[in-house]
Amino acid sequence: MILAQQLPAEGSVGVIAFAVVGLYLLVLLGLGWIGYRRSRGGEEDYYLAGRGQGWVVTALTIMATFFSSFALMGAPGMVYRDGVVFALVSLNVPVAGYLIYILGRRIWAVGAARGYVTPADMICDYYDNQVLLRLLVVLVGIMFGVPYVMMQLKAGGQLAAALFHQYDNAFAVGAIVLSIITALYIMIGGMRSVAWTDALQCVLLCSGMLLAGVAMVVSMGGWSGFTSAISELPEGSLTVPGNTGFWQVPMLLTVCLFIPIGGIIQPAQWMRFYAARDVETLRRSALVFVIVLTGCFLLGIMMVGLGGQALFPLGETAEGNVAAHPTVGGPGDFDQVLIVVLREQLPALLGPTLGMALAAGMIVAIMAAAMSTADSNLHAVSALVTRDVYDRFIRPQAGDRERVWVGRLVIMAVTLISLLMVLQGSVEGSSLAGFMKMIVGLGLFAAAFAVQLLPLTVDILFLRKGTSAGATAGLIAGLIFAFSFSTLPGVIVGAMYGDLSAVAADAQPLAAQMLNVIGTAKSAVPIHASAWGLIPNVIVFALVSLTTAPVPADRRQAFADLTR
Amino acid sequence: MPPTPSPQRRTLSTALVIAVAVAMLMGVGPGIYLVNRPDSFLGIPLLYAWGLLWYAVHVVIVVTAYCCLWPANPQGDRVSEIGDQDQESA
Repeated sequence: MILAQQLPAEGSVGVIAFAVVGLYLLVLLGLGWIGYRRSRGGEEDYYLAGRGQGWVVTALTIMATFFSSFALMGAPGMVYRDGVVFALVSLNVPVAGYLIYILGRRIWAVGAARGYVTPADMICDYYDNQVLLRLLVVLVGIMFGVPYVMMQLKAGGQLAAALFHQYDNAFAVGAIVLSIITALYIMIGGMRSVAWTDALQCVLLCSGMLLAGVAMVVSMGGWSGFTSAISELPEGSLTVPGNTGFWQVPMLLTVCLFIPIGGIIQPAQWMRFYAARDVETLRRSALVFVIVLTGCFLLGIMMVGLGGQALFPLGETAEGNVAAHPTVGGPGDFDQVLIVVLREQLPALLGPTLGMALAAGMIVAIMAAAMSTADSNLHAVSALVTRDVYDRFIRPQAGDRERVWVGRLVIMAVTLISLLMVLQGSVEGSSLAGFMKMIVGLGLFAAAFAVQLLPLTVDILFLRKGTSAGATAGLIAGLIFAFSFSTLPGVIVGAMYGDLSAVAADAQPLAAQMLNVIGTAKSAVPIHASAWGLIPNVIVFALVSLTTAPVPADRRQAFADLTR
Repeated sequence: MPPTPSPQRRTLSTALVIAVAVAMLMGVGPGIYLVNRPDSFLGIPLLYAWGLLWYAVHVVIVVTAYCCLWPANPQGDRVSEIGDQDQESA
């Protein structure tokens, strides 16, 4: 299919690519081993690296966790499909950067003082709601973590399918290898390994983003050639709401406001705040995050999508939908544009050896992007399930060693579940295929759930007016609405009842009728599912809090003292 | 108790919050309608140049906040004190 079309004909070039990728994977396992050797044992060390991470590692691991295959494959794919409008989505990154300091330093302060490990520890301790609210926070973590892991494994599969296109099972093998290596180094070394590998992967990821943009501009004859080609793109590619019409201004604004919030208060990032050595660490991390990451996005990888449109013009399906150029892949294969650019442009531009060496570096960058997010989320889900479910409800008497081993088993189980879903979704005609069509879609789906923790977080860290019942009811309402307005109910209804387009609306099953109502609401108010969930979440939280017992004054004061 | 923020810091803090709100509303909100046409600016699509402008604004905001508003180590000692007290009481 893609990059590897070069490989069989270019034996020595193939060796370079394999050597670079092989070396990279060995380095990751090596870092996992070093992390294990440096560990001091115990749950807190396994999940928070002893709360001693310095600012360089913290900044890099926060960035690597925030940006995933979304950055190197999803974002250029979305720009390729919709045009310049998606480049503006990079302005969500500064919001996340500000939150690293504004929320992160308060979360760090409370976590350090009271010994918290997971987000649920803080939330449930403040509201003194140790069962229902804890389980809901774990559910949020799983609803965020699993799709995010799936997204990364999918990217690994797509990359392998490109590299080894001559093999029928390349996608499956790629996803399996990526999942095994990732799970292995987390299981070996815990947070320390995850953070160290993230640091390396972040450097590769950022370099890859910038390099891809530079390569695209150079391959189009320099800046003037690039801008000249871009200026001739169709109007839909240069204006809002983009070629598909998806990126209406309300959608763009809600995505840019709420997705970074979800990306920063999701459990994996929350635990990185706990793991930081001090506030200075988070202060510097926030600065680096805003400047470097937004710049890599806007000045680097976005060029690939735009240039890709000029090089491989979009087509149209029989139904009138936007379709990728046949060179890029099937009608919906927008995410592969970067890999196609690597195949088509770099070897021709730089010669087969140097071009493929650079392409191999980019392949490693894509893998780094995918693995750095998959490892963080697997690690976080493991912490949530082990500490908040196993330790609390199943075996409270378990020792540290047992807990760490349960955490490792959870990592294996979540990896396996995510992998099975990715493999199922890759089967032509599968009910999951539509849901997993684009990497960005999976990322937005996941973030919609994490955002629902925002009202509780703001209440604990700033307001301290809410109640336990209000927090619980608000979170339930938010999750139900976020789920209902996501893409998954459509997939479930489709899997249950098949194609209902020929059935009269009033004769359709109740679930399909509800889906139609939601569809009408989404059309009338084109905002993201995260916002659809957040509105009832806040309203219910506020109303229930007005009529239920407040959090005791001494606890509110204790948190106020810590978060001021 | 931590020191009360000075009036200058409060003013700067408010100004930066407003600047972030303006940057978001202009960069990815209704402000887009001001430039939503397929023109170019210095050779690059107008909408893309608009994004670069607001990125520059965010850089100024975060550098200002880092240098003037976010204290280098605001409550490290205090947190450890409270943490010690908490552990003792437990």
